[in-house]
Amino acid sequence: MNRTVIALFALAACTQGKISERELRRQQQTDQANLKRQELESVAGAYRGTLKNDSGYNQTVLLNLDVKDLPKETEDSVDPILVPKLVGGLRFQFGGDDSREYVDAGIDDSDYSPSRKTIVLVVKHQQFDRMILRLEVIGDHTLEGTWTAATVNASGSAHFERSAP
Amino acid sequence: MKTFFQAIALAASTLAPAAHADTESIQGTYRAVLRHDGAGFYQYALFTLSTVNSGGGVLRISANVRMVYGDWNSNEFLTYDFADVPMNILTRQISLRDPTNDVSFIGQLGDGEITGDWYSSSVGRVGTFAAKKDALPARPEGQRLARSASGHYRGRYTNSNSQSNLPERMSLSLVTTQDMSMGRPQLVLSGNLRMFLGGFNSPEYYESPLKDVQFNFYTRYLTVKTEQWGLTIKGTLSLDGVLDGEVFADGLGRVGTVHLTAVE
Repeated sequence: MNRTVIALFALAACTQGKISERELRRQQQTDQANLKRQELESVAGAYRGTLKNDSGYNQTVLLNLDVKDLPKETEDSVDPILVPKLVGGLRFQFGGDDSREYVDAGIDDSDYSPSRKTIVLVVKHQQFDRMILRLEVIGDHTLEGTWTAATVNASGSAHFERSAP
Repeated sequence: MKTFFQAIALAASTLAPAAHADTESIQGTYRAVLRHDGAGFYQYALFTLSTVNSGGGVLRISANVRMVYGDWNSNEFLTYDFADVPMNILTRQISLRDPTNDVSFIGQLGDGEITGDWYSSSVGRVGTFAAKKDALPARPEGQRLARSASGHYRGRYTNSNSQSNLPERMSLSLVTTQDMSMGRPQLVLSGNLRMFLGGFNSPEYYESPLKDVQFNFYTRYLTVKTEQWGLTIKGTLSLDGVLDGEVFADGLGRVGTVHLTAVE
């Protein structure tokens, strides 16, 4: 009995210095999330631009991108992990910036590829269900690309410049 | 040299991006030209759009349309209210429709201009329209401005029924007013018919007020009934103010034809 107790204490003492596999994985996920957050924060911010449709109309839009940690369930983890994601909204502005003539649409989903320097935003609104913005990040201030809204059979080009803080 | 290029780079980095023109505001007054395709004339209209941001980024648009008969100074007009005007922010399609109005407008709004087609419940598609905020759209070539129905018409009656002996000279006066008693605007015509025993300046004439005057602006078909004598005149009032029609008498049927021309 005494030998058993001594053996158990010895085993406990040996394992105190090691990190569990679960904790190691969690640390890796945290590091990846931090890296992702840094990448997203480089493109987050307020932008002002134009959506041009194929009929030639130019629409002033204000794009607001923010980074938010959203919980994500994983198979090998009991607790959900926090994954940073681009969120925000698109404002269709009529008249000047002080005008109250505007329509807001939320960003339902997003994806940013730092290697390809492209952002894909899925904008949702009852008028067009989904609009997909595919933007290329040019320098620190410019986003340029295309937009499509299949449910209303509309598409065109998009151009944004980062607004001064 | 290095300092020179550094100065250029610094200046370039501080240059603001190219100025971005704001999208035109939706609300405002638009002057419009409505074409009556196939009929050869056009008329003026005023579109007044109002917007309200009801919160949550939802923009509500309402409109009032004034359709003018005659020139811009004419006091003959019909007004139509459209409480809810949907506009798609991507396609810019705009729709002015209301079940209580007998006209509707479907088009596109952009850059201070609305263009599209317009419809009447009585004839269907009437033609195209263009409305501009800051200027009057171009008037269609080869088409004439729709004349108002109001006016004084004079001309000749030709008898074709041996049992009728109406005088040869007739004049018709029409006045249009707007009636709101039914809750929505209705153009109401009234006036009188005068039959001259002598010349048009003769004091010898018979006169009867008109009742139940009906005028279809789109087809230009006019029907007038006299309160006295049981006479009905039916015909087409042309853009130039010429009325060619038939005359009917209660109990006799068709009694003759009439050709009247606007004199004022």
